[in-house]
Amino acid sequence: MLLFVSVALAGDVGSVGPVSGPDGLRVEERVVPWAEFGFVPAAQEQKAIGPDRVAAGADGLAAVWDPVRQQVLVLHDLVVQGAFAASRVDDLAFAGRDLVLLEGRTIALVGADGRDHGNLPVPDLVPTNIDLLVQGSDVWGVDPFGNRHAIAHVEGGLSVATGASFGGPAFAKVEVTPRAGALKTSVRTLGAGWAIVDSVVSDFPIGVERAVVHDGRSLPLETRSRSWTPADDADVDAEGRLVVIVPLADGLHVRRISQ
Amino acid sequence: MITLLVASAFAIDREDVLDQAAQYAFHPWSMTSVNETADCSASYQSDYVAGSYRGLPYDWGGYYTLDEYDQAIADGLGAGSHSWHGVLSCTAGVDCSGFVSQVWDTAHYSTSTFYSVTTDISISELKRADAVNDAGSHVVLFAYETGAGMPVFYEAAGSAQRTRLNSGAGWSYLDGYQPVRYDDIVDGGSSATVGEPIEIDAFPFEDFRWTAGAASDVIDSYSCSPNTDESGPEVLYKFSVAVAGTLHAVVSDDDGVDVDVHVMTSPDGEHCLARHDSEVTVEVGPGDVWLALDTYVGAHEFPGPFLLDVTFDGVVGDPLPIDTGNPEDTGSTGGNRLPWRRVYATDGGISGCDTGGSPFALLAIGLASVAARRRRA
Repeated sequence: MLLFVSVALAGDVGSVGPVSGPDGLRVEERVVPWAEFGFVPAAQEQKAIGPDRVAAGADGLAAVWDPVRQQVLVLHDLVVQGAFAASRVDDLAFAGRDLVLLEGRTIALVGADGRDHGNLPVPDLVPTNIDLLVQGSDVWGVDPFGNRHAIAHVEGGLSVATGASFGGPAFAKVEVTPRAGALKTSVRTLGAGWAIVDSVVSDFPIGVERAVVHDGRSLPLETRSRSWTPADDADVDAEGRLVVIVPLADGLHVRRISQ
Repeated sequence: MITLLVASAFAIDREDVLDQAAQYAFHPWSMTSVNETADCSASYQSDYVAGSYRGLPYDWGGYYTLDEYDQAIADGLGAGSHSWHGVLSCTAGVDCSGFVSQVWDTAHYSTSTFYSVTTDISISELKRADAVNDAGSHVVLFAYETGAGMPVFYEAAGSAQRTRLNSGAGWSYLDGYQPVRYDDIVDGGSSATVGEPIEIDAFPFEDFRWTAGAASDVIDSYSCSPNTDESGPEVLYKFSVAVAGTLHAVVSDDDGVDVDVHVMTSPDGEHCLARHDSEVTVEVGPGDVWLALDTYVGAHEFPGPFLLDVTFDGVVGDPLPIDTGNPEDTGSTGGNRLPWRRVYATDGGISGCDTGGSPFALLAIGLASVAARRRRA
């Protein structure tokens, strides 16, 4: 099912951006040109389709799902190292140096080189609309309320989860002071104290400002870039840094933000 | 006055809209390799491979009801499509506006023509089952705003390949969109009550619903935990068990919401088999089984949205009749018995005749046989 299709696309693809950010947050950035990804602009009744899921792991590993070319790109320190084919990925998360892929009602464990290490069905009791989360050796599905549901154990391969299905909240709540004058504020908690905060600042139509927040410090993020952009995504790596993907005109900006 | 009467004749209530939306997002379906391709387009390739799924596929130009979709897949149509395939007559599913049109129970409007049946509203006016539209691009059905302010909405999204409940995108996903209200929508709903419970006819079962504003508020305590105050509004589900099995239910709710799950044999709180704040496992025998998702009351009420997932490893359906040894008694007492089927106990278990050739009936009898042997053991 999974084929390793390329290695070391190029160490010189993209560029490393500034290493300091506002408000004391440190930002590293790499721009991966659109030639490396598939991108379908929005059409009538269809949002744009492009890379919209990122997973961050240990030792600088990250992975991005490209739904158009149906591949997972693996990055090391923000540089693309290779890619492997995957026909359908709803979410992905690192388990050590391996990746867990959610493919419909199946999870698969694959190496960063695309080697298949087995798969398991998602238990029937786990909700449909979940994000993947790996904590230690436990693979969870996180539901719309931020609660965990046991999917599997990953230790020398995948095994069926035992014990209670319901695991409670995935992350500690991040308290955020809403922006003055904001009509609505949404806080997406990502773990390790990170959150993405969207502030609705205007109406008719909706206008939004987005920022990454940690310990009261914030870093603005672009919204609605590249015309009808696909949603951007973020994940916290094993070192507690936030990795975020932002699609802009010149390519996919992969940012690593640390305190 | 005439206009009002005409409008009310076609009005749809918000809870019905959201009920429909949940069915699209959680609809179980299966496909074979036949549905990976489509006979009217040589270049077409489905996003899906043979297997079982939940949630209707995104299909550019698609406007299928759930029944039509199941039939189309059975007839060999392709599962879903994208804009680059063109509008195909040989694929099935819904696109974003087809989905919203279906759950609003309207003709098929597009994101560019919804204006003719909707009114623009401000973001502060947004209610459940309103839509958030970007003319010419995409539309979502607003479902709820979490305690963290995250918008939760249903959508048929090409990027996700299916109809889904999207809860992690934040407001920036809707940057540049316009909230709109369907002109013939009304508040409220009357289902999920003792008199009109949500019927569960297959497992696994999943539902996303609200106790806030629920139509039922008649059960305040349960025999399995009589001192727990459950006097807030509740949502009621019901199914019938033909062959006993294990029921496993998980309820998840939002921060600041406390909805508990109760399993009962009648909808009155007096016949409670088990209850829990989040997860319950219980053996249930033949007969009617009720689930009450009830609002806990502590210092105040904690109503709100919940996500319910249920599995059951027995057999759903009317209970098999009990053989009394008198053929006249078999299936003759009405109620939930099967009046047309005669079942005889033998040393080898139970064998059936006159099953009408139904594979389900044969399966039920086979499982009944296993259950009977277990009971004897």
